[in-house]
Amino acid sequence: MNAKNEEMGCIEAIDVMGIAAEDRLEPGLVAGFEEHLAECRSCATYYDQLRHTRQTLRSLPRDDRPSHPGRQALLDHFRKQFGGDAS
Amino acid sequence: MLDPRRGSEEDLIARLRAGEPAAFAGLVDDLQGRLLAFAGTFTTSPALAEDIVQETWLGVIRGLPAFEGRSSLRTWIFSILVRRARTLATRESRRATSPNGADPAASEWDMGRGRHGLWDSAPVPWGLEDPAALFQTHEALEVVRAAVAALPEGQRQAVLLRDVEDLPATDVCNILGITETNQRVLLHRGRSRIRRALDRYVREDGGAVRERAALGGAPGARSAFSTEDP
Repeated sequence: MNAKNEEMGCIEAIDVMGIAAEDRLEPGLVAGFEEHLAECRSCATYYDQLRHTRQTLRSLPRDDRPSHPGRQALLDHFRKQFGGDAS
Repeated sequence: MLDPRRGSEEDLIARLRAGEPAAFAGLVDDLQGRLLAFAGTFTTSPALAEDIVQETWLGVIRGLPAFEGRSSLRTWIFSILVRRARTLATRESRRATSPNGADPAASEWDMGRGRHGLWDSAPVPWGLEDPAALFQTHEALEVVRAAVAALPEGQRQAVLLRDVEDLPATDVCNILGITETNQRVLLHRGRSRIRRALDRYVREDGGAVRERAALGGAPGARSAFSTEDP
């Protein structure tokens, strides 16, 4: 990316938006990205919604399945493999 | 309770390698549902998905003595799943979607080129005073869950691992055998679709979210037009 010392436009901003939402934006691009968001309402809105989308994905409740058909077989197999007691 | 993401992972690995049944049972209970969701991206058959996960656990048991902890336990387990899935699911060759979800409907955006007529239809702010309402509202979480389930498989895999599981980006590339650029494209497309689903929900139907976070701003914020993605 050659935008380090140049103004960032919508296309460049959208290219790095996902990375920015993951807090992984290259330090050299942060200032340009933030400047663009300050000037571009559409990108700022989209970025905001992208961050909230990711946050919501991270908050999806776990689909825990404490008992499933193969569970006991797995535990038996584990005990056998590691030579544990067969109780 | 045992949760591999909390406490010391080294300690958990040591207990597993020492053959402690409770450690293994805890790991299985913690990951079973998530592995099943991920296995479901490789096959349309719930029975085959179960088989893939069962085979994955057998692989974990076999591999534990040699596991060196160079990656995290979860990354290692998801990698085993991908290998098992690719072996088992290729036998079920009915699926026609391409592995990386390069479906034509998702090609509205190209890395570095944007989309013709960028922001033809600008995104409208959701106007939520408290955006946290989104991820605290059952209804909104269901919208997101359904949107994830509807993604093409490559996008679904990337979103499940990177966002839902929150695994490091480099681990996601390694697990799926894709480049960083490829991952970014898959995530961008997948997240765009999920954002669009949330957008539609918040502005047309988001009663529960509105109750939780009073909608602020101008009445325009409730425009029924669905915004497009770049």
